[in-house]
Amino acid sequence: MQSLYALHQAIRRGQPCVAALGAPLRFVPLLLIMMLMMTQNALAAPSGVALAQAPGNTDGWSNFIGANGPPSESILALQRTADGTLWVGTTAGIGIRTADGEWTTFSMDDGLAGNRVTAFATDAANPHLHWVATNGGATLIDDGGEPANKDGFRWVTYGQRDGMLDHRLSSIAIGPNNEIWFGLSYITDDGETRIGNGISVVNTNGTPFDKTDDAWHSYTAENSYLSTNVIYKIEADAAGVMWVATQSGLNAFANGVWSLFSTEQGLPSNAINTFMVSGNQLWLGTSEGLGLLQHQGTIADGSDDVWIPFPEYGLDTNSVTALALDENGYLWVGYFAIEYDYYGYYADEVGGAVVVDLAQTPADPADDLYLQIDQYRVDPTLALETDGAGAWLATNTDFVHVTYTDSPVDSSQLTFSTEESSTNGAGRNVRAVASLNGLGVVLATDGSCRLLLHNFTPHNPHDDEWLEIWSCSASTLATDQQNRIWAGYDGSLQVIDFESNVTQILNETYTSLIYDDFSGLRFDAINKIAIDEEGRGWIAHGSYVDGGLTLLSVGDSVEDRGDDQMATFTTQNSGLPGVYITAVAPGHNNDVWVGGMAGAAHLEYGDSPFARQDDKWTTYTAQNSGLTDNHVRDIAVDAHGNVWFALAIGGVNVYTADGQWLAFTESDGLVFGSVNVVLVDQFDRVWFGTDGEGISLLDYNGTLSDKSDDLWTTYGPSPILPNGYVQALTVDNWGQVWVGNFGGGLSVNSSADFKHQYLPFIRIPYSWEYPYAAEAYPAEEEAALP
Amino acid sequence: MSKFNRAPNNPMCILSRYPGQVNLMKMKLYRSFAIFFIVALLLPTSGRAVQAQSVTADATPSASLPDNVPDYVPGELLVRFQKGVAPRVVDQQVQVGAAALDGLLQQYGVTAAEKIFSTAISSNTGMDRIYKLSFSPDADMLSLLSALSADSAIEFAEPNYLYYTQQTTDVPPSDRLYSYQWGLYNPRSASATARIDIHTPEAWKITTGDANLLIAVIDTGIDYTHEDLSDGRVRTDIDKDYVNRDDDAMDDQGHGTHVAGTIAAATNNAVGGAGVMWQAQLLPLKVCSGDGGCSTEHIVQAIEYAADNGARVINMSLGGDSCSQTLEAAIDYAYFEKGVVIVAAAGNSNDLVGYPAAYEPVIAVGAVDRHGNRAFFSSYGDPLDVVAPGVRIFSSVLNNSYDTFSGTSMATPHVTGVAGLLLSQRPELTNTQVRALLEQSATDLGENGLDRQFGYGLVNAQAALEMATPTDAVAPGPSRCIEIECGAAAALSGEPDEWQQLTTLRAVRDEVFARHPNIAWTDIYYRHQAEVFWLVMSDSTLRDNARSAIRTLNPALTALLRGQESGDVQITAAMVQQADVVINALIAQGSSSLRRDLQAEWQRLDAQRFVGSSVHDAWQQVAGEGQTIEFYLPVAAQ
Repeated sequence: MQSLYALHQAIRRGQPCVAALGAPLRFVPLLLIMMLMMTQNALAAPSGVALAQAPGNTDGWSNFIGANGPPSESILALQRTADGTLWVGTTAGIGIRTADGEWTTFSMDDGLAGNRVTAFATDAANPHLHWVATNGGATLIDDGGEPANKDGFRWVTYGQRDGMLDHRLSSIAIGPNNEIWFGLSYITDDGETRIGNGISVVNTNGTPFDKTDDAWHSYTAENSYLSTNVIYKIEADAAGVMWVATQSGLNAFANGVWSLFSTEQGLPSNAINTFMVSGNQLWLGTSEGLGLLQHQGTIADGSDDVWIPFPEYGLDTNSVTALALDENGYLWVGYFAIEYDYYGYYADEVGGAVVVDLAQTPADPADDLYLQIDQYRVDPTLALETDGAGAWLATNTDFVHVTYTDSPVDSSQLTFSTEESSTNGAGRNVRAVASLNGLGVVLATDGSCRLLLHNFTPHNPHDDEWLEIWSCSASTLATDQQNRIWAGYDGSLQVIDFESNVTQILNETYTSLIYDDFSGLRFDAINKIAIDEEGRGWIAHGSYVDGGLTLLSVGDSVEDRGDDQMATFTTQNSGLPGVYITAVAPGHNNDVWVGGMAGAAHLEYGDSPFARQDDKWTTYTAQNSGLTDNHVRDIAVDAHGNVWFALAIGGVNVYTADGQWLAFTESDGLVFGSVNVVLVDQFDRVWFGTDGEGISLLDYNGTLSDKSDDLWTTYGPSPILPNGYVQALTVDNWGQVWVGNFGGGLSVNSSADFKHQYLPFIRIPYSWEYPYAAEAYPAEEEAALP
Repeated sequence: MSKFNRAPNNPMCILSRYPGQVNLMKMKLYRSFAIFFIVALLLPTSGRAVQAQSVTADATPSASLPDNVPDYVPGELLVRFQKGVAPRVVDQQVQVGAAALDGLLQQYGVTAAEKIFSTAISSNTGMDRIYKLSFSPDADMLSLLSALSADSAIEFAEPNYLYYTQQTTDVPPSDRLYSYQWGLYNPRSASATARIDIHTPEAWKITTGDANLLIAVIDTGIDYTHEDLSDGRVRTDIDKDYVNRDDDAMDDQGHGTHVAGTIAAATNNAVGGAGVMWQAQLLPLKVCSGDGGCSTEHIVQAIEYAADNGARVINMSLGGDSCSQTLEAAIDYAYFEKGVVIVAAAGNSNDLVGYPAAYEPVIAVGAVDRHGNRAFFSSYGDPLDVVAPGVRIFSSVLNNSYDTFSGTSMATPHVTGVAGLLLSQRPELTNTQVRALLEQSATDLGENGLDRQFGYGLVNAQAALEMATPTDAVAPGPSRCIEIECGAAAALSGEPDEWQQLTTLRAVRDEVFARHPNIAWTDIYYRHQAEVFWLVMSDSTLRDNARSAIRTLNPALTALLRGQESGDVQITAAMVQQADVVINALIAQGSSSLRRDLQAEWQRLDAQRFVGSSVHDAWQQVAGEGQTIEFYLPVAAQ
């Protein structure tokens, strides 16, 4: 059987653009919804903010940052500075890519005025000063000459409190007298309608970090000859003319006078998405094509203006959204538009990119050569920036770097590479984590499923690969012995045969089968999934009003429903302690333990859990047993048959294999009495993830009832764990403990030294055939585990 | 010496001049508020600069109050008359038959004298000669106390002190979940002085709420059968369900019940959790369905209903990205027409604050975790006002249960509860004043002062209540304003030229004030600057007047600062007029303590007499000839 990993690599080499997996996590327009963040629900959209990595390898811990890339796949603005640094404006802040390919992110967490970054303007006289336009105002960043070191940044924000008419910026520019022009316009929730508030201008008097001497004024359609308040872009030319692209024509401000250019003068369309200044020429990207204006330097005198329309280049839209000239004089043009169906509903996003050889006669399109860049490689393009002999293209799905040798209009000379977004990383809210034995770990994070291939070096993030599993958006998950991923949602369940469908998953064509109420799934919210030794899934459901337990066997084939078996346990037909079931853990003797907000219960099901007549239920509550609180959050059964209960209040209980109840609280060494998750590792150590104070690790030295020899270790928040809110734990077959944090991403505790102990013939990192873990290390080495 | 027969000038209780003095003396030097520059200019010494003044200089020991029990009932004194002296009431005036004492009692308007102990008590104990004298709470009680203590007909005189039951001070509530409610009390905080919680244990020493105060919860409803909410505090007689169009706002989802529990769960009942308010009335208005959707139509109807039915605070743990003019109109109605305090969640999108929180009249609340970090989901930006605990918050849920939720939804009711405590303590506060108190008393987090991640900071119930109770009983807490711009922003609109005036004011404070620590105006500054600050912050008219006064006075302030280098700037009638307007407004609105001090000093100064004089001449007159006057230029800002 071809190894999964090798297959993955082969696919990547053949289709590099496909490596950017997962649909863009689009912003979903919000209705008036409740500001509810229940512990059992995932967030709607990821923040895309990279996490700070723990300083060094603290006690064997590492915390995961995202992939080395922009903070979001949704890129709105690009700017390349003279030192080769690329500033990338996204919907989740700024990505700063240095010339050597290293990324740094800067977002509202760091002080940025807003996370939706729409434009940049770098001060040509002070190239370390960068003005950033956002949906929350503007930020001036002084990178101190080290754009990769955001800790050394100095910044200041400008907003309505300072004098801006509105904080939602579409554009920003530096004027001839160093005044800063802010274009005030934004797109509403429908993704199309633009609202404008004109232009605010600030004179910082040369002291942008000192606001006390600032002077503000504004231009609107009401107080000036600005044609409209909906501003798309502002830029100054070398002569000091401020050019303003709007929804209603092109405006120019020179010597205190506004001039307007419209279709009457020669504009292809009054809706100007973008423009580019080049000497006395203006390249104009409009909703109806590309145009060139040669104004001869006489703004107010239109009689000498020359307007050159450019042809369509065969794309399925003529709406130009991006323009740039590279160092060799080639013109790169990006196109993007939203298509609607006959009824006026959203249908698709169309566009792409074209590169034009102007033949050194920009005013004569007739001698131009052009190339439609491969539409399988470059999707509808929102922004672009040239970079030497090439360009960066921000499409609606990828961030692609296209380079050429001699001529970009020769497709054979083009090479493509893709920068992946760091949202393919661990995310923020890691609800669940499970080991995909031999491959890595799979996470349910920020509403999606992601796979981390850590390449046996969990402490070295540079060789990590992140994959977003197409069509999986779980809030909880588990993996079975066949490496199938069980993903639970609010009202449905997926069982993903990952290995058998990896090609489709990577190609974004995979459609997993769903179990929902149509297929017999009785309850909605899935809180926990546990796989028993026979590979059956026990699913804990529930909310305050309804819930129970589902048992599902998918047989040998996930796709074949014919061999499925399902059983539903309710409070009416079983001994479930209540409807809100939050925990489930199979035992070792044809039994399973469940827990919820009303206590715990033990099911002994005889030969088959589907044959219900021989079920024996025993219920345990704080009133009838040694359980000290009824609110059970998690359960784990260790190899000896001891049952560990993580309680919302009061710490931890254990029901020993010989029927005793024991309790462990803060007085025993537990760091905090509110425990979310419990895990027993291969070495009989018990890990307790608490609700805000980190992890307690108990080594009871084999004598449960004798606490005198217990060894407690605490892993608290910062610097070891990000914030101490632990909500998921799993251990892989190498004994590495993976931790899902609420708001703190993914952490791992590992002391395994793969190179020296387990894989002495390791080749790094891509070209080697990777066998499964079970074959990776022989039994004698397994015994050498710490 | 028998405790029943104490010498008149050696009472057991030794009192200091000003109650709560220990709090004042612990106040560190704060950057001044603009008003005091006006006061500083026009009443520099008032003839007292020649004497080393301290706050205790005029007090006799018997007329001072202990600094460990500062609370007492205003307008009342307990007095033991000498044997043979018995008060009687004639024409609503207490008299004893001694001309001097009668004149004193008349001067202070003492209209009642009641025996404290029963008439059967033996005269041998002297207890039969102890009376409670009653007079106007606005009268200068301490002066009366001092005068009575000096009168030979009086054995002793003392305030009618207040003492508190221990249950509401040091003993935590008995609720089972209380130790897990870190938002209320978080002893695990890294710093004991900067606890990451809303300081309710300290706040509860002042008030635990008002059983008659109505709080509207616009949400999924409230489970009024929940064991911690079923004592009648939920107003099921006037609740509304806009989703199902009936009058039963039972919660079918859990969110509203959780919010309600945080605001005002039954507390100290050994059940469940504690609420920020131990007692209150909760008005459930169900506008959100079981799936969490809440229509604009229902929300605005609920707002109107709440405002029209007596709600003092509205809690809206809901929101979205859409700016609705309809919703804004409803909020404007509730806020401006009905004076309701409106609190809403900032949002959980980790992006800009949503609506309705972003509307100007609404207090927008973000969330922090137990370590003081901004919650990773909490929206922020310019509209953010304060933050509150919002990660893993225990509270009541359906089925008589309790669970932890996270979100700005959970942070919002913490602020609502604190607003409720403020109104319980001071029902006359306006919604503007409540908002100003919440903001100005918040524990600063993140960048110094107002910032986009934490707003004004973590809401602090103790500091808010202390700031809201600027009576002689409880001294105002320290102003949180660190930078001059923070406080003076209340007086100035931020026009460019006015920032230069601020710089001058700051220099006057730092260079002039600091060099004259023992005169009346310095004392006033130390004692009252927090109260004056929040008065101005909450009153737009006062704020406008202060702005005008600063503009007008700036030349004189500059002259005072720069000494001879500034030339001979004259004090004008306009300067005196502007200052007079502001000071009289403060006298009218302030506490009795502030009123007393300002009235006395302003009257003593008689600022009109300086019109036409140069600043330097005026200073010479009030400071006295021969006083060394040191002026120098302020150090330029770095």
